[in-house]
Amino acid sequence: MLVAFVLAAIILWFVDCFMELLWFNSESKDFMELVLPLDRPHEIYMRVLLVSTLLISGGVVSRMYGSLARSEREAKKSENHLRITFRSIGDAVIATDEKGKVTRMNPIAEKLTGWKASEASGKPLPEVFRIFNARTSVPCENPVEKVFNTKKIIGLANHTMLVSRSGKEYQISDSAAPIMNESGKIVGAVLVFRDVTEEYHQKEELRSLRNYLSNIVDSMPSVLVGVDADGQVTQWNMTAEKVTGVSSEEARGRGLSEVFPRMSSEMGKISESIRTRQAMHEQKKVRHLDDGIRYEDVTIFPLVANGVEGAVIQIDDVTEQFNLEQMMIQTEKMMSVGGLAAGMAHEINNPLAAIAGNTQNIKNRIYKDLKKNSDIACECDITLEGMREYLSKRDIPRMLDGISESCRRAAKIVSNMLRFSRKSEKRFSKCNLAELMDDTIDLAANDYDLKKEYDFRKITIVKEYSPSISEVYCEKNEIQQVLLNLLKNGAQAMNDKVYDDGKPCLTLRILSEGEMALIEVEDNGPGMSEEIRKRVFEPFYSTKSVGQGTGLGLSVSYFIIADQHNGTMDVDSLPGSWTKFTIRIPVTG
Amino acid sequence: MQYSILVLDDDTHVRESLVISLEDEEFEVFEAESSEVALKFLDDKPVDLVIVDLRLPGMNGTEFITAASKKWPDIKFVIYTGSPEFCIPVDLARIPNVSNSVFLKPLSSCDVMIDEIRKMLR
Repeated sequence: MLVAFVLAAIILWFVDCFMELLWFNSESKDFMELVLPLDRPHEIYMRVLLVSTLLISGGVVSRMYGSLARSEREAKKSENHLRITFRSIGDAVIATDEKGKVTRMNPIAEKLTGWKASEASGKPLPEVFRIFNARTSVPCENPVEKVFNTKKIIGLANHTMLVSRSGKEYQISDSAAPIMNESGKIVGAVLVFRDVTEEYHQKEELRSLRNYLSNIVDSMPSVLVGVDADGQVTQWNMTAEKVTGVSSEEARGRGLSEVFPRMSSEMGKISESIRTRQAMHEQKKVRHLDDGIRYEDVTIFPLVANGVEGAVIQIDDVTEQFNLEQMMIQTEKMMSVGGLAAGMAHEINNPLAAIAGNTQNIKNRIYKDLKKNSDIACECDITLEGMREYLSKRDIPRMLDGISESCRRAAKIVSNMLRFSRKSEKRFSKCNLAELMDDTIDLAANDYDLKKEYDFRKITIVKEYSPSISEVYCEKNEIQQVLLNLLKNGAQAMNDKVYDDGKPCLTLRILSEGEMALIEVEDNGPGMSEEIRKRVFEPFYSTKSVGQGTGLGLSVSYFIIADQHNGTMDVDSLPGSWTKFTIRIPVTG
Repeated sequence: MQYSILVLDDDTHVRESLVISLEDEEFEVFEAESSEVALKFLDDKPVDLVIVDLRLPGMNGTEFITAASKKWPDIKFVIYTGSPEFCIPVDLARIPNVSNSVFLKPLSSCDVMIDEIRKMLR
């Protein structure tokens, strides 16, 4: 450019010379003289002025032109660069004008929407970019409109589904932002989105897996508690919530012994388990509660995976199982006694019948007014009166009573033992427990044997019968026998206790507990030690002195309840204070 | 009139004690230690009533009652047994001459059985 001006300046110079030659050549100078008229300073001055003006303006113009060209080149380059960038963005991008009409789309946007940029251009965004909620199938709000309204960058809601022109669906995550010019006016919007179908599926899968696992952990009937190496709770399942009354949110992050105080004693074992990486198992751990004894299995598993230090503690209440086992053992014992008794009964009952029969025969032949008695006495030349007197003085009648009594007791033992053999026929009927209990109280009060040992009338009887239980399907006589046995035992036990204050008192409760009828017989007698408590239902186990009890009463009762009525019978006691027998039998038999 | 009773029991002492009790009650009493012996005896002398033990060597008490009641429909039967698992078998319950009460050994007093016998013979 500058060269052109220089040339123009030279040409001007020569044109000037030429003009001078044609019109102002008064002195007829030749052309060469005119090219450099050193003799005419004014001419030189004018010419230099003219040429330099031309040169300066040429310089300015060429410089301006140069910078313009450069900037145009740069702009082109930048635009090109932008276009390439735009096309190579990994996410889909759609730009719109201020009316929300599509202006640009990159290839990924083309692919996801199924529209060519050229076709989409000028179309309203919702036509090209069709989105709806994946869960509710409700179309989503036009994001660009939202951007125009709020003038803010917005992220789209979760679970957004894009439907392409061909109907293909993509799970997307996206955001929309306004495009503003320098003055802050919105001139369009840009929408960036991404196909997250795969990611979304993975997330969903992860979420459902996590749900599934936590469901498993929660649905475990065991208490499952996770702790870290410091004994802080990390996991707390539903059963743990139920048992402790502490929610999972409350428990997490707190010390185990703080939220589960009875685990304090296990803390040493937990750290040992973590240290040695050995599981620890403790079976039938005894726990004393207000309403009885519970048994628990406690297992501590060390966590070693992923270098995470900690442990999982599993606690199972095995009371039912334990009781069931005990009951089976008990029943088994009784059955063997029963089997033995059935075989023995005939063999023993026959001699007993002879003993009892002949004892009575002897009495008859001494004391009964039989003609033959007096006839034979006459024959022997003695008087019946004299003989009777002799026998009385020699205590023979007492001996005979002794034989009868012993015989009766032996017979009773055999018949009690026979109760352990399983009877096939059951005479079950509906029975009002409250009435049965009242009848039994009368029976116990009138029991001849009892009067010798204590006075039933001195005992306070507290009845707590729940009205919610009316009739129970059971073998009435059997249940009455059980109740009578418990009343007698209670009365006998209280007779052995010296009361400083208060009186002997029997508390009788009849309650309803779901499908079961619950009968409690509680005395405030001397109670019993744990050793005795464990054995009271054992056949032939008795704390009474020989001759006072057979040691079968409670085991027979137990058998009647557990085996013949599919119920349970338990005993609880606080030595020195009370003993409570609890019977549960199914209401429907 | 004096009624006659046969005591059928394999246990000598039981049999004897029953015989004595019944004799003292002015019955005419006979004894037999097995069903076979009893049936033979009844051929010669049909009694009014038989006291039967159920568990017997050879022919048991139930079979004896069935057979004897067929042959001598007038004879009455009372069961006295040491085996509590025996209740009156269904086929025996249908025979009107069998007492509905089964007496279980040992009876501490024979009076209840004697009352039942008198009631049946009346």
